[in-house]
Amino acid sequence: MKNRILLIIPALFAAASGCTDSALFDQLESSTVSVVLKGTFESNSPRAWDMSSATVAGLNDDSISIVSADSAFDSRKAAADAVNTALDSAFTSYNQYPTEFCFDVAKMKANGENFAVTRKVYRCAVSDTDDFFNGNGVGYPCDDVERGKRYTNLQMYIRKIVINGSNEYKVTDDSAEYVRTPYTTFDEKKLFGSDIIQQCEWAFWDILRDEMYDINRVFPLSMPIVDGGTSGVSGFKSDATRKAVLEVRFVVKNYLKRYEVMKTDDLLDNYGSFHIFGFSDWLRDVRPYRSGWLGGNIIASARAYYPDSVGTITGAVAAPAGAIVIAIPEEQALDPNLDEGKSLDENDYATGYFYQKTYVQDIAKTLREVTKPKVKGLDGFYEYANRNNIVRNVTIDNLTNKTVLDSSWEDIKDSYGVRAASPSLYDTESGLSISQADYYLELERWNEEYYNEYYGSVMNCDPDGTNSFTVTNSISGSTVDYDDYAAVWDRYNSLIDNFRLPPLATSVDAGGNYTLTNVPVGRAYRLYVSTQGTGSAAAPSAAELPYGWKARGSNIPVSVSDPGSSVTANF
Amino acid sequence: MNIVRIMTRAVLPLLILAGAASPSFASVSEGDEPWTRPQLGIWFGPVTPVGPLFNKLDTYLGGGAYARIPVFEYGTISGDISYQKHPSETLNRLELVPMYGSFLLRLPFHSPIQISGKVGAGAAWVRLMPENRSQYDPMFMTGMELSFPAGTFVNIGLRIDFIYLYESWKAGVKNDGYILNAGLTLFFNLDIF
Repeated sequence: MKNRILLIIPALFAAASGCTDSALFDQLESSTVSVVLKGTFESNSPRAWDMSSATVAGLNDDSISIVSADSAFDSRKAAADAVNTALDSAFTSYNQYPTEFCFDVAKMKANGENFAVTRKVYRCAVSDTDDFFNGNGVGYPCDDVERGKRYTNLQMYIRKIVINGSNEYKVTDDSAEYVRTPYTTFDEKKLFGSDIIQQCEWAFWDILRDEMYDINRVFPLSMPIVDGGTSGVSGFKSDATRKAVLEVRFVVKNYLKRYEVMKTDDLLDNYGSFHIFGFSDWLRDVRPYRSGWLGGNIIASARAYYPDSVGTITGAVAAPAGAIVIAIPEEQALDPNLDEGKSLDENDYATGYFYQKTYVQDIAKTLREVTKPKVKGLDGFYEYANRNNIVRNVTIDNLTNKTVLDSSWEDIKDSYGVRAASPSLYDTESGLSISQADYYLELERWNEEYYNEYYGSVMNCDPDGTNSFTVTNSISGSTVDYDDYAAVWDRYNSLIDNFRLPPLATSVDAGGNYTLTNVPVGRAYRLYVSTQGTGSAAAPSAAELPYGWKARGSNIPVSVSDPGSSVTANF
Repeated sequence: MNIVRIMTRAVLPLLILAGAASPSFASVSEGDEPWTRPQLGIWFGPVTPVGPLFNKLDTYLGGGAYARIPVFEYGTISGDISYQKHPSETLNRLELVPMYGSFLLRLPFHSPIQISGKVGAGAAWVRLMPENRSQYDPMFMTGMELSFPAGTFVNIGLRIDFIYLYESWKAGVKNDGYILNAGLTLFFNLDIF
């Protein structure tokens, strides 16, 4: 009865105002957009984790140079007992994969607009069954985006990334002692592992730029929306009547490597070396002795699709298990006339989307030659210490009460002919401290002579005496000359910036078949299989992304015509 | 259909005229004096979504105006219009223009401070971003007001209203809107009768 009486008034208004049939408060409560996060290169059916100890042993990066890999690991129990700390019992040998990948997302923005402001933490087990790594993805809570507006970028603000399996060493003169398993705080709990988010802020090359402090590669992590799910529209256009899924992928699975990061405890001789797991430096090289800048290696892309209008593409391909098949929207395809086995040159990378890395590797090789540090190995450690103005290592001889210098310091100075040793706070003869003013004067002189000399040598380096840098394309053999080091590096960086994850990717199973799911209906895609530059289909190696894409034989675009249907496209 | 439209829109003006035509009262005490006259007022204060909306939208400021006519010693009829908006940290935003008529009943104390309760109904123009949809929703309200004269002409009051935006009469709709308005109000006695 009550409802009927109440209905009179609305009925009057319905007649009076002709109101539209929409439920505003229902729309406020719900969202037509949902966000799914995946930690795999593949958008569905990812390869399994390759965690064999042989593979893990091969994951040690060349940045591990102060404390050699595996050193002193077996003595860790004794070391931990000595300082009375716990050990992570999941790790019994050095060559073991991390067991947990944890990350903490503060918020997400689309085109700079706040559409998801909830903080969410994720603790993902490094296994093939965890949702983050098995192709299903984990959800991230979000609100609506503006209807009818075209979105081209997503920004994800990551607060923490914690990966376990790290080890801390104390560096002495020429050896390393195991100290403890590092631990950190995550989600208000104590957790074994290292938080690598600070290292992900800059890539090594970023710290050489003037605008260094304006660069932050991880807060936010920017990613393009590579496929909006609708033909003819680049980016994602929100339609408030249909539910859409924004699938965010950043590569973690089979993409971790082990690095070394140097830390110091205090001004006197306590140097620490951390061996940590981080994202592979396949794209942006991680250099030693530079605080382990891992930035620019969280490779992320997003795509959008409408779950009520998707289908699958399936087929057979003559490829080993673990090879990757990708689908790229037709208008963004690598080269419409790509013949089998044809190699792409630099011009192919400069325009549009960029899914190859071969040519970039050639540039990277040149850069590495150019910036090879003058000292390496244990000497590089001292170079690092000097660069950071750390007081050099002195000990007091108990019998004579005189200071004893590390003999290595003198060796460095003599054999390299550079003033490797920074000034000391102590007078070398008497062991007494000199005045602070004298120390700082000496320090400034040392900076002027040594640091500027190094920096200058890097920027003006001319390894072959021709006043230019030559980069050779390893496939075609052609060469490109650059005027100076900065030009080489700028070119490298701009090519790398164009790197995209393909919107759809899957792995080939043992029977030579592949299936791509959640393919938007009515959109034409071209399909490619990975070759790793060999010419025939191949699976990517550990901690590498697939590359060397070969088109499907006929290279005719494929599209799914009806929702829920499946299209067959054999290679 | 046209007749119905004209009739519903004429309700409020007719009520006002009816009130104006009623006889005024001769024996009233001093505190009651303002309430025997038509009044025009404005209000301003915090407005907040309550209930399920509370997690979605933020508190903000709103304001409005109203006109009142006494109908008998303790009763008044009022017409209100106001504007309020509720932003949020995300892209959600609600804009509201409630327009309603209400009936106030004063508590029968003879003192300068007057407490009244009210109940009313009307329509609200509602606009939701980022969906960018707007429409008119029926609304019901209830509230309380505390007021006292601050001179022969001006009165000051505090008012608190609860607004219920009714949408669930449509098929399949689960959620309604609940808003709480609070504010300071200033209203003026009109010497026109």
